[in-house]
Amino acid sequence: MPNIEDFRAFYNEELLPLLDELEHMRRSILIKNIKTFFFFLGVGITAWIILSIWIKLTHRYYENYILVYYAALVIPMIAYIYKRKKPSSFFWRYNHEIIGGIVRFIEPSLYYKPESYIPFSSYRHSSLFDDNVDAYTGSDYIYGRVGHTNIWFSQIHAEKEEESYSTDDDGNTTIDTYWVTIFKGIFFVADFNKDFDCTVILRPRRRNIIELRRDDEIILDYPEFMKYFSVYTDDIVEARYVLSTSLMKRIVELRKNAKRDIYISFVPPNIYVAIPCNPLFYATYCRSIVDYKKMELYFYYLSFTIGIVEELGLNRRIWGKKALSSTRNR
Amino acid sequence: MSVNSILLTTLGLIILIIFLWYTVRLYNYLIGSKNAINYSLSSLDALLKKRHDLIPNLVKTVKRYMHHEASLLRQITELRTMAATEDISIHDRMVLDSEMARLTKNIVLYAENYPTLYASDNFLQLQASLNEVEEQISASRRALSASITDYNNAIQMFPTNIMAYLMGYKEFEWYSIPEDERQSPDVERLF
Repeated sequence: MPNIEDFRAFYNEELLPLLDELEHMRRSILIKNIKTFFFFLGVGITAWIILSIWIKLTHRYYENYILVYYAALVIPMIAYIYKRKKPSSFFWRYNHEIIGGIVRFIEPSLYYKPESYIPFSSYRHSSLFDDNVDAYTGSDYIYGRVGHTNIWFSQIHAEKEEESYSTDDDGNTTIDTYWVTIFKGIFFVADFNKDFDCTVILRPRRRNIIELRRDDEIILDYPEFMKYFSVYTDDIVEARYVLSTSLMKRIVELRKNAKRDIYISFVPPNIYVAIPCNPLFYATYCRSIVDYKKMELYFYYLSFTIGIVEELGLNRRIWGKKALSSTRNR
Repeated sequence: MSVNSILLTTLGLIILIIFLWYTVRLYNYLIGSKNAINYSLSSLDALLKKRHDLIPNLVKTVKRYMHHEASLLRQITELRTMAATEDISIHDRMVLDSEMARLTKNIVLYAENYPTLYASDNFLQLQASLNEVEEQISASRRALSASITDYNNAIQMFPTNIMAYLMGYKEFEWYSIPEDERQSPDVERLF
């Protein structure tokens, strides 16, 4: 995997000319839209002035023409929204050429689809989170193969709607609905390098005053690992086959590098890794996009995620399960 | 009935329900711990048999190439025949298996001297299967070790030791890995 020095060279040779070209495009869109905005604003103000003069000269009442005043401002603004230059082609190029370019630089065999995301069926299959979901969206879908391992990941945001009841002094009950985030962050899937037939779920360990173990919870023989994770499984022997000592060590390193709680599950035939975070890939055409620090952040984020394959040793195929010869159907 | 006596009766009932619930939990926990040991043992037994079943294929694959290692192959075949006996105890199977595992490792090491054999699909597949079953056996042993520790802790620690005494449960004998398997393979000793 390329390092930061390689990325710096890539940025200067490949990304910077593209960013400059897109920056030029962004500025021309922005200037055009500003001009269009002020034109329609001018039209609205002019209409307002003309209306005011007419009302004064004809000795009419301003109050009878409130709606006309509103229309004089609102209609030009609506016209501006329709007439302004849409920046969709700018965003399309930014996503596919800049972010897609960084993805292909890190791993040429990967593909990037900005509008797609991990399907809900994969989220549910992982058994990591509540699947009683009312809204499920995402973006920045990346998929392909790293060495012998097929991977696919994206940003996802799963939410559920909840209700709260409140009663006022008159005894009237009001129902307020609000959204609760179940999970928001990177959702990573890879085909695991062993054949197994059980479910193993790793959740961040919560320190409670009273430690109550669930029936399906097991304690493994690696104390540092158990400091970070609670382990749940339906097969105590196969869980230990999946979670070898070397894999547990690697998972601990991954957790330390992520610097936050992570969720992992093993559900045949895949491994699922969920890392809570906010969406990172965004551009606004109101600000300059020529920003090395931002590109570097994209590079670190993508390197870290794609690097999960090496970090967990998923390319090591010395057991019965060999590398797949074709990409799986997702 | 006075309010105090109603309160006392209710409190007594609650305490009794909590006590019964806790007793049932302790009972179920001990049963679960013992079942975990049985499950781990039967898994280990099945996996040891699985490894033994790979031996004939291994011998058949390497026999054509490793003519000078006939005695090694004969030894492992004999061990495999002994291990295939139906009424062998799990402990004896483990002892035989540890010796077979050592010989298998030697065969794989020695196969490096025969490039044609070492690169053949059959041998690579066998190696992968052996690695897989080795890792599964290791997992099974870890599970067994953890189950026995859990169970023996419950037998010895308060308050589960009271329930264990009432149920007639005793400490479980620990199966340790034979010393031979802990050493690095000694090819010189065999040849």
